[in-house]
Formats: sequence, C-alpha cells, structure tokens
Amino acid sequence: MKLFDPHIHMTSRTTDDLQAMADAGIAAVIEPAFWVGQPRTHVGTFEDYFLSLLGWERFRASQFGIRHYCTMALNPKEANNPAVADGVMELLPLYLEKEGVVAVGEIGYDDQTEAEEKYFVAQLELAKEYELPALIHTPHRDKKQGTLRTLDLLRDVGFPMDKALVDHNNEETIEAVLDSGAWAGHSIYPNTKMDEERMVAIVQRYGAERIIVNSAADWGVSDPLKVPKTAAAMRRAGIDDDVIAQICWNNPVALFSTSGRLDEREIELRPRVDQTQLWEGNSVLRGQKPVIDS
Amino acid sequence: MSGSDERPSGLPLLRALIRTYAGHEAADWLNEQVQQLGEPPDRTRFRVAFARAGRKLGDRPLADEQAELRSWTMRDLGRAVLLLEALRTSSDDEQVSLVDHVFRTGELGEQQSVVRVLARLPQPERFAPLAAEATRTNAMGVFEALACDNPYPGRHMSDLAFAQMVMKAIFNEIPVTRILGLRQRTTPELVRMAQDYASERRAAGRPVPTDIALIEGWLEQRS
Repeated sequence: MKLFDPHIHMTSRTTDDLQAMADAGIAAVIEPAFWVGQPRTHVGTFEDYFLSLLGWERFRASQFGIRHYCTMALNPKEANNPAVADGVMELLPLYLEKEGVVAVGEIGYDDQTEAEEKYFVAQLELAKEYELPALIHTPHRDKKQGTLRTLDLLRDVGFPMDKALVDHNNEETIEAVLDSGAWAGHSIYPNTKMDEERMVAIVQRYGAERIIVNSAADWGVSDPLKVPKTAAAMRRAGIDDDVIAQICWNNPVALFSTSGRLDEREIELRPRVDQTQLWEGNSVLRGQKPVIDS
Repeated sequence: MSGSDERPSGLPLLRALIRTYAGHEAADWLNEQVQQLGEPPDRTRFRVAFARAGRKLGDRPLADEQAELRSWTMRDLGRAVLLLEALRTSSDDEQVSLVDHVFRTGELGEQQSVVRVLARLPQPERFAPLAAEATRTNAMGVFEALACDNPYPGRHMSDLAFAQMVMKAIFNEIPVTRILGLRQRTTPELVRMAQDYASERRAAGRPVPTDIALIEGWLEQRS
C-alpha cells in the first residue's frame, strides 16, 4: 500500500530518514513552510528557506522515489515579528505561484495574539484568491480554545471548509473540527501530541471521512515513520485495508489535488530514481553506488 | 511621572558585586570596555564586548546573593553592567533598538543575560514584546531565564503573554513555584487554560501535572 505523509519537515531530516521512509512505503510527502526552531531575523532568510523547499528538498526526496510537495506561508509564531512579517507577506504571491505548492500553510494561531490573527486572516484571503487549500496549525498551548477560535474565524472569513485542513487534533478538538466540515489532521508523535493507539481509537469512533494522519516530524524528538506505524496499528486493530488506504492515501490526495498542483494520476506513478543526477552541482551520494531505475 | 516602573537599576550594586566576585583582571577588562563604548555606544564594539564578557567573566553562579540575583552567573553580571552603561548614554529609541538587536543576534548565553537584566532596564515595560518573543523559544535555558526567579514577567508582561508563559512552564515540567508574581497574576483565564490542559491530559490517558491544582487554589483564595 502506498502511503502519504502530508505534514513533515524534511529540511530537518537526513537521507537515512528518506531511505527508511521509502522502504516503509511512503510515496509522497508534503513539507509545510514553518519556523525552523528559532526566529529568523531577515526576510531573505525566509526566501532562501522557501527556495530550499522547492529545490534541494524536492530533489533529495525524489532521489529516494518520494514525490515531494510543499506549502507556503508566514507561520503563526513569526507573524509576531514585525521586522519580517510584512516582508514575508510580500513574497507569498510569488511563491504561491510555484509548481508543487499545494496549499497556503502552516497558518493559524500559536499564542492567539492580535498579530497572529491579522496574518491568519490575510493568508486565508490569499488561499481563497489562489483557490488553494489551507493547512492550519492549531496551538499546542490552550489548544481547545485555539481550535474553536480557528473554526469561528474560518466561518467569519467565509473560507470553504472542505478546503481547510485543521491539523494537530486530539480527542478534545476532533468533534468540533469534523462537525464544521473541515478536514481533521493528526500528528503522531513519540511522547507528546497524539500516538498510534489513540489514533486507532479515534478512527474506530469517527471513521475515515476527512481524517488525515501525519508525522509532523521536525527538529525535535519525532519520528518520520509514524504514518506507516499508524497504518500498522490500525491493521493490528482489525481495521480494513480500504479504510487505512482512505486515511493514508486517498484523503490527502483528494484534498491537495484540489490545488491543481498535484495530479491524481501522476502521483500514483513512482518517480524514476537516478542518483547520478545533481542539484546545483550537489549529489545526495557520498561515495555510494548510485541507484538508477531502469 | 510617566507610568513606568521607577525601581532603580541597581547599577552601583552590580558594579560592587563585580569587584567582590570577579578577579582584578576581569573587573579591569570590564571597566575598560565600558570606557571605550563611546557616547552613544558604538554597536559593533558593544556586541564584541557583550559576547566576550562570557569568556572573561565565566559562568560561576552568584549563589550567595539575594532574590533574583541568586540565579545569575558572573557573565550575566558583567553583561548587565555593560548594557546598563550603554543605555545610560543612548536616546530612548536607541535603547529599545539596542536591547532588541542584542537579543536577536545573541547566542543562547547572551539571550539568557538579556532576559535576566530586563527588569532593571530604564522604562522596562517597553521590553514586553521582547519578553513575549523570549517565551516562544525552544531553548529551555533561555525560557527558564525569563520564567524562573525573574521579576520581569510578573511586573511587566500582559495577562495573555504571562498566561502563555505559565502554560509553557507547566508543559515543560518547570515548577510554577519558581515563577515570581504568579499568585498575584493568576487570572480566571489562566485557570481556565490550565483546567483545559488537565482535561486534555486526562483524555489522552496521561498524568495531570500537580501544578494545575496549585494555580486553581490561588484563584479560590483571592475570590
């Protein structure tokens, strides 16, 4: 079964992870634009990061047979930095035009400040204008309140709920999100946030409709194999392969293909791997024998 | 009188502490840096001195001192003196700009030093946005330097920023008893956030931090 991880920060991961992901059946990923562990101090840093999502990270993933898409945004944390916020907003129209950019994200609340709300609204408007889905981060602190406010805001702005992916859900937020008509994302983590067993319980209770699972693997303690591990946990619990395939492949494909930047037929085909290829003169190899698909 | 906090910076005390705890060489070096800063201070010279103060003064804690100074180290002390002296000859606007710049371009130790001295800076309420930024860090040393044994949050941060800082402390298992002014700054909204977090933990089958009961208790006492 092909698997899709629609929220993973590949810029923080090594090729060991890419190889393990490929071996575990991951055929596609979405890397959202986010903050990188500590605040950026120049607009140019954002631009170079955006370019790396479109360039080196896409290339690296392709070298392991994985299709890499990304999203673009001013993330909730750095929306609080007046020195960069407007400058990043000016870049977005250019970067939302790029191939393989399947949503505006990650946007949303972090501390639920006025500044965060201002840029959240502005980027929802951009998503409407570009007819892109919105990949929405919910706060890790005061999450229930933050999620309810998020849903209210989506309604106030008139954002099409069927193109909103509200991510990082837990038992306290999922019902409100599903009731709103939005997609409900779940980030499966080793110690915090959601885990495989609780995800199984959620699927048993709510089914597969508009349910999405991801690893949100990043620079902290996280695991880029959580999607295959969650699929395995669902299988062990007796959940049908059809249901698993809906959650771990069909749902993200259906949602993100509405962007017009992800082709439903093309994504079924494994990209041809040729590890002799270079990106800007750089290879992923360090002395290994290159894999070349025939 | 502006609405600002009129507490003194304690610069004479800090300088006296340098004389007491730092060796002659370090104390002389610091004096020299202060004298060479220029009026207004040259930013590059300031940044070099601020960074170098780490190696010159070292990280021995001021364990024998009172109140919040107990959690400072020698390099925090030296940097506090440098910063306060630099601000003395800067305009109001330059003061805010310099502190912000030093924080944003600081490595972790420098960021800790900035955060520790905030309450002693002139018109300290102006640095509330910087403090809020410091609560967003993932580097626990910097977060603890703001949240623990530091009078700044209790005195100058907004209710929302303060509440978020408390919630982050609970999440990271930092004892809330180390947050100065918590009792006075506990609001019904903070209690609501803490109770929601407790509920989230229970729904996830995870243990509920006992600090939450503490916060609930303080609000009850006041009402």
